[in-house]
Amino acid sequence: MRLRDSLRSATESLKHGKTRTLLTMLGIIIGIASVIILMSIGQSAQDYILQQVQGLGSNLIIVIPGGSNNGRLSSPAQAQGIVVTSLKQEDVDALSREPSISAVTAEARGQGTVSYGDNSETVTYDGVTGNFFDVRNFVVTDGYPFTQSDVDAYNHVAVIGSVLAQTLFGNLEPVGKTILLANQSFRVVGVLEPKGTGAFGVDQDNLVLVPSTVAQDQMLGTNYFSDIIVEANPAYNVSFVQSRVETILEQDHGITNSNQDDFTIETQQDILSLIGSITSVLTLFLTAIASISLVVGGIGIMNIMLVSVIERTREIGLRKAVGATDKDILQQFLIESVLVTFAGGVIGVAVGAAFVSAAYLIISHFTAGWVFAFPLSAVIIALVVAAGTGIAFGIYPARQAARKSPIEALRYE
Amino acid sequence: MIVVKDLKKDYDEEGTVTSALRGISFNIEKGEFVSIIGPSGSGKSTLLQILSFLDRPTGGSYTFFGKSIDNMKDEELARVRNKDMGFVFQAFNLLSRLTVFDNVEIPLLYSDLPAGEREDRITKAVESVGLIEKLRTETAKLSGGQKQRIAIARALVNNPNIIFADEPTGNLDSQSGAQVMGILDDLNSKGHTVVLVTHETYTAEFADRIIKMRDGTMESDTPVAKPRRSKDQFFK
Repeated sequence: MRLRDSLRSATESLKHGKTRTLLTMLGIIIGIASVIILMSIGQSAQDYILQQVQGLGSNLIIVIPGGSNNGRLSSPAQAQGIVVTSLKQEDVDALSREPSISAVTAEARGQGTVSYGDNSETVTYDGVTGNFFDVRNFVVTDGYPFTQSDVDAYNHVAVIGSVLAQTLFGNLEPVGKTILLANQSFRVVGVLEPKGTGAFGVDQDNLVLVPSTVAQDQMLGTNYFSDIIVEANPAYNVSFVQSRVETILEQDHGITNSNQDDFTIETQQDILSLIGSITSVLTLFLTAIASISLVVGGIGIMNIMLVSVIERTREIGLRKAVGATDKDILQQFLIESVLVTFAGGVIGVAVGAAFVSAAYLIISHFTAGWVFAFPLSAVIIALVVAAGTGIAFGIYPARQAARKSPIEALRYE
Repeated sequence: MIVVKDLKKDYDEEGTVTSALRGISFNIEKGEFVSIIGPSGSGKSTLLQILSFLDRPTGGSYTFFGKSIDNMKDEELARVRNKDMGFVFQAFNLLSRLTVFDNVEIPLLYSDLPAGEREDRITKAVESVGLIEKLRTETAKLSGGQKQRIAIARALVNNPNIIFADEPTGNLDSQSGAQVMGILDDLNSKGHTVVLVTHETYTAEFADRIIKMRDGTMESDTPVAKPRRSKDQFFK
C-alpha cells in the first residue's frame, strides 16, 4: 500500500470519530504544550539572567574573599556565612600598579535603614571607590557620581538607585536632599539609571552607594572589602590578566601554594557558564517532568488504538482478504496513531506558543528586560517527540491488528 | 486452474482434533461456475476458505494455476488474492463510514495500479452492477441488495480470474437475491470463474456444476442440466 493511500485511509478513519480523535489527542496536546512552555520560559529566564550578568562588562574580573577548591563561585567559607576578611586596601593598591590592569575598584557592602522624612527602607549599601561608576558602567541620570576626592575626603555623599529614589522622595527632586543611612547623614548627589537585579542578587535599583572610606571606617568599622573588581587592560587577554591578579594577590598574601588561596577569581565568562549550566539543568529537569504527561497521553493513544483494532476486526479481515499483507495493516494503524500524535503535537505547539506569548506580556510588564523566547529547537523536539510517541505507543496495537487471521477477523461479531 | 487432491483440514483445539475436510479431490476449469452446497458443518465454508487462500490445508495438495499453495509464502498468497481473486461475502463487509467509491477502491489500494487508472476501473465496476448514481453515497445509506451489488463491484474491480461468493444471497430478499445472482451469472458469461457456496439448492442451480458436501467429504460432483437456471427463474 502506498504511503499516500495509507495517509488518506488513516485520515478518513480519524475523521469518522472526530470527538474520540480529539479526546485522544488531548493528552498529547497538554504534554507538548507543557514541554513548549517550559522550554520557552526556561530559555527566556536564562537569557534574562545572562543578560544581567553580561551587564557587568566582558573585561571585568571579580575577586571575592575566601578560597575555593574548584575555582567556582561557591566559596565554601562564604557559603557557610563566615565573613572572610582577606581583601584589603593593600590588595587594591598592588593591583592598581599592574600594567595589564586598567582600573581597580572595591566594594564594602553592608545593610541598613535609609530614610528621608517619614519614608524609610531597609537597603544594601555599598561603600565604593571613585572609579566604581566607570568600571561597573553605572550611569547617573540625575545629578553626578561622587569622585575619588569625595572618597579620600570622607565626604558624606550618596548615589541612590531609581526605585529607592521613588520610595524615599516620591515626586520630589532627590539631588541635594539629605538622607539618613544607618543613622548617618548623607547628601544625595545622584540617582542611577534603572538596572534591575544584578549579579549576586543585589537589586541595583534599591542600592545606596557611598564612599568606601566612610562605609568602612564610620559605618562598618572594618578594613576589608566584600569584593574587588578589576578591569583588564584591553591590550591584554582576560585570562592572562586573571593569572596576573592571582599572582599579585598570592604575593601580597604570602601564599606559595595556589590551592591555599584565600580569594577566588571569577571572570564574567565563568559566571555566564555557571549560570548557563544551572538554568539549562533546571529547564531540562522541568521539561522531563512535563514529559510525564506525554507518557500518560501515549498510554491513552495505545488504549484507544487497541479499542479501535478490536472494533475494526472485520475491516482488518476484509482488507487482508482482498490483498493486504501484515505489513500493510501494521503501516495503516501505525500511521493512524502517528497522525493523531503529530496533529496533537502541532496543536500543542500552537497552544504552547499562545501561553508563552501571554506569559511574555505578563512577565515583561513586571520585569524590565524580560525577553521573548520561542526556540525553534523546542518546536522541532516537540514534533519529533509527538511522532515518536505515536510510534512507541502505536506499535503494539498495530502489531495486534497485523497479526489477526483473516478468517477469524471476518467471522468476528 | 484449480486442482485439489485429497484435501484435508483438521482443527486442533486443546488436544481435540476436529476434521473439517476429510480428503476432497476435484478440478475447476477456467470459466466454470461451480456451486458448493451442503448443510451447516459439512465443510463447505472451510473448503472455500482454502480455495480462496484465506487458509491453508493440513493435508493433501492444492494447486492454483499450476502452483502449489505449499510453496507460497503468506505475502504471495495475499498478492494472488489481490490480483486473481474477488470476494463476495454474506455480510457484505463494506466499510459503512466510506462511500461506494472508497469501498470499491479497497482492493486497488493493495495493487500497483496508478491513481488515474483506478478511478476508471472503479467507475466501470460500479456501472456494471447498475449503481453508478450511488458512486459518492456512503454505503451505510444503501439497501441490503445495493450493498451486495457494491460488494460484487469491489470483487470485480481488480478484474480477477475467479470470484468466490460465500452465501451472497443469504442476507437478501428474493428480489435482491435474483439481481445478485443475475450479476454473478453475467460475470461468468464474460469469462470469470465463479465458485459459489450456498445452502440453497435453487441458488446453486445457477452453476454448471454442483459439488455437494457432507461431514467433510464430497458426496457428489454433478453437472447441472443445460440450460442452467437464470435470474428470471430465481423464484421458481
